[in-house]
This record gives sequence, structure tokens and C-alpha cells, in this order.
Amino acid sequence: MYVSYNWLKRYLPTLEELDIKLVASKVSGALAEVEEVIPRGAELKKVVVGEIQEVKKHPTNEKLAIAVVDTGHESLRNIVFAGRNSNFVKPGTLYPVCLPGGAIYNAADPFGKQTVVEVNIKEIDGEVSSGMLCSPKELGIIDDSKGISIVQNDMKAGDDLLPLLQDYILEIENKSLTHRPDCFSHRGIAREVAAILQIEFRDLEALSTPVKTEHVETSVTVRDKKVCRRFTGISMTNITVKPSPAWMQILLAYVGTRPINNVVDSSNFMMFDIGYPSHMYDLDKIEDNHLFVRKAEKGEKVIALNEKKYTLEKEMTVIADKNGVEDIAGIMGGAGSEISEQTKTLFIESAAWDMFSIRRTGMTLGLTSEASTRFSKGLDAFGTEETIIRLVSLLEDTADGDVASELLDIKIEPLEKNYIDFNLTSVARLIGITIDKETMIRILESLHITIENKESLPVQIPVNQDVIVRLEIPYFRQDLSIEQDIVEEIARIYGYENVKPQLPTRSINPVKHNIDSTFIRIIKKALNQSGLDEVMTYAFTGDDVYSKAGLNTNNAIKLKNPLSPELSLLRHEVLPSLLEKIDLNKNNFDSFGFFEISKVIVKEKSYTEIPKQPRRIAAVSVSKKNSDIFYTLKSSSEYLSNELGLKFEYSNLNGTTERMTAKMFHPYKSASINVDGKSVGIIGEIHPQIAHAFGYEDLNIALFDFEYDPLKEAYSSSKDFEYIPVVNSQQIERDINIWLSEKTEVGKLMQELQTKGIEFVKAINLVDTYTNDKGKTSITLRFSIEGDSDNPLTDSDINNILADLKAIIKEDFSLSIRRQ
Amino acid sequence: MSNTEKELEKIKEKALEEISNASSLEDLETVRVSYLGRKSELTSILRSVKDLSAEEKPVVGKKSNEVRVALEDALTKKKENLASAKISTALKNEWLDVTRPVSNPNIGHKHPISKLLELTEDIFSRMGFDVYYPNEIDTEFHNFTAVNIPEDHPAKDMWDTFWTEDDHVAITHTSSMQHRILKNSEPPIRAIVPGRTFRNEATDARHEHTFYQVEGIYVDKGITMSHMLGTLKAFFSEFFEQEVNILFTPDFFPFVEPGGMISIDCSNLGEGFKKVSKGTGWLEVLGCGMIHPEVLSRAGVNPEVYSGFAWGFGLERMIMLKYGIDDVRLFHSGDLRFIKQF
Repeated sequence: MYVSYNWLKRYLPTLEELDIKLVASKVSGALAEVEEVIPRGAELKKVVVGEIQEVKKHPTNEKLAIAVVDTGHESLRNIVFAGRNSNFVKPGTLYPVCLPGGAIYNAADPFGKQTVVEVNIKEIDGEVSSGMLCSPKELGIIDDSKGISIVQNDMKAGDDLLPLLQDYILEIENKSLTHRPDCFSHRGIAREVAAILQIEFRDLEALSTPVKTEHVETSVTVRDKKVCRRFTGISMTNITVKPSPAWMQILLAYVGTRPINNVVDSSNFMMFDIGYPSHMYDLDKIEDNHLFVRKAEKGEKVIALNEKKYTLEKEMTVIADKNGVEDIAGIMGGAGSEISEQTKTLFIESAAWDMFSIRRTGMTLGLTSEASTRFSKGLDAFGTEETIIRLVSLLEDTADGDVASELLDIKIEPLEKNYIDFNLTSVARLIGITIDKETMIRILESLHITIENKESLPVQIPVNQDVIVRLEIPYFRQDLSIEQDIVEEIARIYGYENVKPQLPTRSINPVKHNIDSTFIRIIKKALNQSGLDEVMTYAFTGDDVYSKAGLNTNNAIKLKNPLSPELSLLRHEVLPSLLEKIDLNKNNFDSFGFFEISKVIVKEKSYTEIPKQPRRIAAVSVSKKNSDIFYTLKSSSEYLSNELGLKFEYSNLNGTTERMTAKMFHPYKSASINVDGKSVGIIGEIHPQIAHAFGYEDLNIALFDFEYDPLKEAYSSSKDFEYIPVVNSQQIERDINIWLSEKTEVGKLMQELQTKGIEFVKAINLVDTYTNDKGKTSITLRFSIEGDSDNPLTDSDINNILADLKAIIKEDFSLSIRRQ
Repeated sequence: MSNTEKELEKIKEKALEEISNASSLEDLETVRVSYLGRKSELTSILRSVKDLSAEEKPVVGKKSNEVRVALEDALTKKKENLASAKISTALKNEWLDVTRPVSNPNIGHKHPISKLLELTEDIFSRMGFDVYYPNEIDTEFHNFTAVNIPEDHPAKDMWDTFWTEDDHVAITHTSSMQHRILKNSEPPIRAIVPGRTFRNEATDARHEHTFYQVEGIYVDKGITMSHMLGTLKAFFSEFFEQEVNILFTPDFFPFVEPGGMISIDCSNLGEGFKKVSKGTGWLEVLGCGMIHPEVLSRAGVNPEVYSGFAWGFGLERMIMLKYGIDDVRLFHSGDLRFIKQF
């Protein structure tokens, strides 16, 4: 939102004495951030009003002309100008003139990025030109250099234009003002600045109710009394539509609104000035001079002032005549009764609308406006009458209009004052600072809040003792409704910089242990240690990735308003997102692996309150060369098992499982991972079909997919290990090499050997695998044998143990022993 | 002194001199054999002691033992000296290439969000805050209504929202847990809610539809805005490992009153911060305020008795500032060139 410093000065007579930077920083500290202070017209020099006395042809150059101009000096001056502008440069017209020694902006540069041009007396094709006629663009007002003059006949020759042209624009961040419709006006901001800086606020002079001098029969019927809170209006006639005075055009342009004509500009000006939108109807275009405030009919159409056509819904409120919609209430007028140069008779409307309805309609139509911005923030219904009265006065001056009706004022909602009972001690209670009574009262009064029982207050406010005052809230502060609102007002005007940081005192009870936080950290640590990087991918996915991954999109909850089809599903599995990310990384790395822990959303027919959101721990391991990729990833899985202190059991899926993600795994090169017989995850190589779908045929890829909850349950219920006393024992290690046959499951073999319970064998480890040139694989198992050091095992004891082991290997597993 | 004694004294002097002159362990051994060996003079004197007179016997015996001990001590010392001299000499000829890289185990990298999330949890945990995680899909009530954002309120425009086909919300902030925490706990309530949140806005280098937020609340008797500033200042000082000054400026959030933004003084916080703060030295990083009485009473906490504050900040922004990262989309890109730097 743009705020003009000159405009503020109309309310703040002493503002000029202050440094603009200080004002900006104080407003940032107590109201809303001033994002930028933009100087306007700063480089302009010596620009005055000139009255054209005579226009002559240039004797030698027919493209040029010479204006004889009165600039309030003793003698007239000749100014050479472009002859094509002769339509606008006529005797009697007023035109901005830059005098010799002055400076303006270069018309040839793009607007807003203009360089400065000095103006001097010079000879143009033999004619002396002492000054320049200036277009709005050359003055930096708007991007218009068609030749039209900004100056109207409210000024006279010699008047200095620089006070109007030189201004500062404060760009204020309006998100912070969502609750402050009153601050969407210069009067509102001026009130705030006065309170913040403790300077004088001078309100506009009160005007008396207009008296009609002409008569145009006008009437309004309000049918929608829920959305329309107040409807105020008046008719004027004998209007002359023409450009607005320079001061108004410049102010409007500087706050970002292009001047159009005196009628439209007056309406805009009043909105930026005191905050209330109004709408002007060409009354000659209104059937029977009768307006209805009613609900739209479904499918009813209107072309709005932005020249777009809108189809309305029956919940929307409109202002219409007998023939159709003339205005979408609170949002935008219709083109049918738009003000034109021919307009003679006006109906001026200023109304108050229900904020929620205006917002809803705006959202549905995708249409917002300066007016709807204000209404949807909860603008009060008090100001409509003042708006009409001030507009009438403005149009009497600038458009020579005459009042043609009584002031119509239909009050639907009662206009009641708000009161808040305020406990003075609540400032200390909520902010933690002590402010004396006088300061609090001064702050409240500077915000136009009236203290009802001011005189009866105790001189000294006792600590911790309630002192309740009754506050009358000004009509324009509809945002103030509870005590905390008043606390905020006092604190921000007093200055938040005066609130010193202080730590609360607290009991030393320990914080609750968040098991997920601990558990997730353990998982991440283990997987990082195993060599996997951690990634995070979107919780959203799309049909394309899902179907490539062989998953049914019907199992995922859909978003109603996705950003794109690729982000239209809430994923119920993490693996597809990880597969998608292989593509990017395969260009940068020969082998890599990464994992993600993330919540997923489960789609079920019924649920209480919200869908289930379990976590998944998924990983991919990729290599261009290593075909043993399964074991690379299994090693990560084992890191996890070790870190968690759980024993993972792997059993070949052989094509069977209930998990949805199982389809992504190679049916015969994948395993179910169980803990104590309960499934916690799947690990395996990628299904060749899925690899094909993603275009990863050339890569070796292994995946795992753990379900977090069963894993956490196993972890939480796993018992602490049992301590075995340290004794002096005899430790012996012996290796046995075994030739494997096809589909020997080494894990099962080792488990079997362990469970056979051969005495003295404490542990069995796989220490080596070897494949000979015929493709036959052998493994080396290392047996840890523990004896009693007081009664040690002899060589023959050990040989007997080994013989027993070999016998099991040969007889129970039909495997042969490889000689060392 | 008898002749034998004199002789012993002579042997001792001569032997000590020879020991001291020995230049190698071999020399020393030769000296040892010649003075303490079976065929040495000293040994033969010791052997002949038994043949001496009763008067001489103890005197010579004692003296010859003294000499033997003195020589043995001198030999031992000299032996150690020679051995360490030998090591010192040998060291000069030894060398190894300390620059040769070793094969390191391949350790994976934690995502920067995880790192900073853990840091944040740890700091608040030390300060006495419980940690809760949010539901990522929640009801409109918990995301909006419970925290004072009614339907059709313009404040809702501040949160561009993803809606599911069953009219749930992809949480726009982790304040979605505030109502539950307030309702299910007894004051004093101290809690943080770090989690993934969603905004329906197009992505570019500065905007991301998915990001991490850390919400926090503190509710107890006598909690003030001054406490809020103290708590957040303490957090930022821990987070950046140096004292960080903060500034509160007003802003509007429906769930707090008064509400505002915290800016941190980033003049000492490094390049990333300097660039973004455009030289002002202050950077808005966090929204906060005193919890609105409506929010408290809706969750069954009496605002007449208790007061509290709440805050929320985006984690990515903090990481980006800390490291000078200029594209927020990297966090969810899955690009290992990014991850492997952390």
C-alpha cells in the first residue's frame, strides 16, 4: 500500500518538522513495516503554471510551434513546442512550464526509469525558446506524453507546481493490517502517525448535510438485509465530466491509481483519503432511477468496469435496476452505468457490506478491488454518510454539480458504540512492563479512545490490584473488542523496544521423552553410518510416478487443488519418490544410496477424524557396476539392526507378500525382514518391470521399505541384553570352507549350525566368500570355540567339535567341504 | 689399606673408565667380560677371599663386593645410554608417507533440515520444552478454527491451503497441534512442534510449497511478552552460538494478541545474513505473540488465570541464511550434490 507524505501532511501540520526516516522507522516499530520510502519528483526544478496567451507557427520548421506564455513574470516568454500538441496548447489553457535553469525527466526514457534533463534558454531552428511545456511523463506523474496538460483552472499563471510534485511515498506492508481497515486510508495512517510520534492530528473540517437545489426523483430498495449493513446515497446533476485538478491527479498517481476524470477520481480520492469506497452511477442509465439491493439470480451476468464478463451465483449480492445488474456489491461496478464524458446526472453510493460475503464472492469470481479489500477486512458502517457529504462538496467544486436529491440513508444494522472494560494492570500482566497511569491515558486518548471514568481513577495504580476503566472505542476501530486488544494498543504505542527480554522462572521437572524423536535419530544415525545419504522428497506425488512404480493411484488420497498433476496425490508410500530421484543422481555418481523417513497418508474407507499417517523408512542403493547391490543395501539394513539391537531375519519372499510396495521388488531376489517372526519391512532388488518403466535398465538397484511402527514396537519391547560375567576362558577360532549348492541359504545354514547346540561353539560368522572360475561358490565360516581355561580343550577335543560340525554340514545340508 | 684393597680400587677406576669409554653395546660386553667375567681379576679376587686371614676376609670381601656392585650399576646405566643412542640414530633413517590417503568408511550425510531440526529440538529441550510432531493432514478445525481463523475471514488469505478430496487440510503451519496440546496438558505447558507444512503456492528460488516449521508455546500463570522475548533471545543465542539481539515489531496473526515479528540482529552472523538483510542488520525470522484468549478458552485454559505466548518460524530460511543458500528448492530436490555437503 502506498501512502503519500504530502497527503498525510493535510492531517499532520507538524509532520514536516520531522525526518522522514524517523517517521518510517517509528511506523515500522509500532504499526506495520514501511518497506520503502520512495521519493517522487525530487529532481524536478523550477516547474510553474503557465497560461498560454498565443500560439504561433514556427517560421522555418513546420513540425514546431511557438507558445507565448504568461508564467507570472513581468514579461511573457516564447516557448517552442512540438506542433502535434497544438490540440492541447491553446490560448487560455494552463500548462506546466519548466523555466530556464530548471529540470524535468526525459520523455524518451521508460517511465519510472527516467534520467533528468536540464532546461535552458536555447535557440531551436532560429527561434529562442525560454522554457519547456511539460507533459505528465516529463513531470514523473504518469506515463502520458500525448500533450494533455495536468493543470486545471483552479490554478493560475506563476503558481509553483513543485510543492504538489515533490513528495515521498511510503510503501507499507499491508499484510500486517489485515485487521485494520481504517489504515487503508491516509486519515487512518495519519491518526496512527500522530499517536506514535505524539504529534498533533488535525481532522478534516466537518461539513453540513447537502441541501438539494435541483430535483431528480431517486429511490433505493434494500432486499438483501443480511449482506447490506447500510446504504447511503445521493443524486447530483449538472455535472461536467473533465480532468481533475492537478493536486488530485498527482496524489492519485503517486499512490498508484491512474487519474481518469473528476467524477471517478473523486470517488477514488475519497477512498484513499478517509477509507470508504463509493460508487458512481450514471443515473440516466438507471431504469426508473430506482436501484435494488438484492441477491443475484443464478447465472445472471454482468460486465464489470474491468470489461470482463462475470456469471453470478445466487449467494452474491448485487445492486440492480429493473433491467439488470449495475454493480457487484462491494466489489466492482458494472459497465452499463459507467461514468462517461457525457454523464450529466449521478447517483453516488456509499454502503457498508458484510465482510465475509464480500470475501466469498470475490474468491468465487476471482475478482478483487480496492473496495473489496477494504470491505472484506471489516470496514465500519459509520463512515458512509461522511463519505457522501464530502464527495458532494468535492464534486460541487470540481464538476460544478448540483445536489438533486435528499441524502438517502438506509440503516439496516444499528450503529452502536463499542465499550471495553479494561483492567489497567493487564498491561503489566501480559507484557511484563509497568507503565504509569498518565502514560496509559495519554496513549489511549491519542488513539481517540475515550476513558469514561478518568477522573475517578486512583492517583497511583496499586500493584496487582485490579483497576478497571470503561473505554469508549472510536467507530473506526472495529478491530478492538477485548482487553488484550487494548493491551496491544498501549504496548505498541509505548514502544516494544521498551519491553526487555526476561527469562521466565520455571519448575525443573524433566521434559517428556519423545520416543519418536529418539528413535528417528537412531535410524538416521545407523543409515548414515552405513553410507546412505538422507534425502527429503515431497509428500505429494502424481499418477505418472505412481503408475511407473506399479502402484494404484486409487489408493492415494487426492488433492482438490493441486499445483500440478505431478503433485496431485498424497503419497501412501515413499519408495516411488525415491525411485524418481535416482534419475538426477545417476548423472553425477557411479554408485550411491539414499533413504528417507517420512509420514505417508493412508486412504481407508473410514477413519476417525483424520486418516492414518504412519511413517516409512525407505532406501535405494544404486550402482552402475556392482551387481551385488542387494548385499550393499542389506549391509545398511544390518547397520540398522545392530544400532537398534534387534535381530533382523531375512526370508525370501518367493513372490508372496501383502505389502503394496512388494510389487516394486524382484519377486525372487527379495526378502521379508522379520523381527521375532513379525514383518517389519521388505528388501530386495528392483523389479525389472519397474526398472524398465523408469528407464533404469542399465543400473543395479536395490530397495528397502520398512514400516516404522512395527519396527518401533519391536524396539520398544526388546529386552535389554543379558550380561555375561567376564571369565578367563580359552578362546579358539577355527574356519570351515563349504561349497554351496544352488539356492543354499547361508543364513539358514548358520542358524541351523548354531541351534544344533554343539557344545563350546559360541558364535559363527561368515568371513569370506569365493567363487571359482566355474562359477561355483564357497564360503568360509568361522567358528568361535570357547573352553574353560582351568580345564582347556585339547587338540583332539577341538578336532572332534569340527568333525561334528562337518558332519551336520554334509549330512543335514548335503554340502561338501572345501579343503583348505 | 691392604694391597688387595688398593688393587681392587685400581680395578674399579680402570673398569669405570673403560665402561664410560665404550662406544657400542659390543664394546661394553667386552668390558663386562674382562672385569666381571669368570676369568676376570675381580672374580679371581672374590674366589680367593676364602683363603684370606680372618682379619682380611671381611674387609676384602666387602670391598670386592662394593666394586662389583659399582661396576654392574655403571654397566647397566651405560647399556641404557647406548641403547637409546642407537634408537635415536636409527630414527633419523626411518620415514613414512603421512599424506597418503586411507580408505575411509563411506559415511552418509544427514539432511540439513534434520541437522537443524535436531539442534532446535535439543535447545528447546534443554530449556524445558516438550517435543510434539504434527499430523501432516489435519482437520480444518485444528488448522484454522481452533487457532482463531474463522471461515471466510480475510486472515485466511494469508495461508494458501491445499485441500484433500475429503476436505482435510495439508497443514499450513504446525499451530495445528496447539489446540490438542493445550487441551491435553495442565499448565505449565511448554512445547515445540517441529514439522513439515504446506502452502499452495508456486515454487521458485524463494518459495516452496513444502517447508519445515517450528511452532512453540508456553502457557503458565504470569507469562508475559517480556518472557517471550527472553525465551526467543535465549534460543537464537544458543542456535547461533553467540549472543543475538532481537527486535519485536507489530504484525497481525489472528491467534495472538498482541502479535508481531521477531527480527534478529544479524550483523555478526555471517555472509548469508548480510546479503539478505540489505545492510540494515535486522532480519525478520519469526512470527509470535501472546496467545489469543479465545484460543486458550476454546481449549479449556482460563485466560483470566493463565497467559502464554506462541511462535512459529521456518527452518529452511534459517538454514539458507546460515549457509548462504540461494535456492529453497534444493531441500526437496533429492540432489546428493547438495546433501553431501552437510
